[in-house]
Amino acid sequence: MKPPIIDSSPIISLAVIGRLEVLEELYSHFCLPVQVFEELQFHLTRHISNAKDLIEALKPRVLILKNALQSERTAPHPGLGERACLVLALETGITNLLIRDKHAKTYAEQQGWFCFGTMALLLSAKKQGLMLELRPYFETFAASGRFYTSQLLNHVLSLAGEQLL
Amino acid sequence: MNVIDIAPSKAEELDQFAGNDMPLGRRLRIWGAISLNLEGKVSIGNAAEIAEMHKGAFEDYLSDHHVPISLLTIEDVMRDVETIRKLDKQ
Repeated sequence: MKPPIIDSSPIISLAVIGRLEVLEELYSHFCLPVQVFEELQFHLTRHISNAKDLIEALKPRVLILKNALQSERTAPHPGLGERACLVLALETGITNLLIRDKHAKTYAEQQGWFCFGTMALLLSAKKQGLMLELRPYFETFAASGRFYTSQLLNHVLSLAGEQLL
Repeated sequence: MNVIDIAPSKAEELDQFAGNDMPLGRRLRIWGAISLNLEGKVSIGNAAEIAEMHKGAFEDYLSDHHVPISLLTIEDVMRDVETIRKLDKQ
């Protein structure tokens, strides 16, 4: 798969479970816009003990947009980071996006781009043997303030062939 | 002048979502942002901007109040899985 552009939420979710390296293993040349990087710096510093190392590891992945975001009209009602991902895709021609937000995904899919979210990424990581079980990570989400509905998590666990929460 | 009357039940919701130690205007802003996101009208990033919060802080806030940070459906996940399958074949 060609390397994707990645929004902040999937990175935060992987950082919370201590498995950010999975991104590197799956997509060795992924990238993110500087606006997403700034969101990450704020969040990781507050929540992750080794945030400094993670931030340093992400720095080489950061791309700066050529066009000012304010002048771009992309999907209706995306946030700054999500908008930056879409603009970066327009500028670079990278058409794979790891992004969770529905508005951004709808816009991207209208452009013929490919989008997927954290849950599908986790299933892919398990399929490729990078994660043995997803259930412990889902329990960590709950304990770390990443609240997903149990219905969603249990569906993913059933797809992964694991015991439900 | 238009007067907005907030029913007691709505006021309780505001307290639940925004904390009753905040000024009413701030509570309304956060409550509105959460509602718009839950209704699918705005993205979580845009909702954070409306709430005048950092996206990460907004997600923390949602989680603290047991509001899901993802509105993905099971169908969305299935579609994403299929997308990865297609991309892996490329």
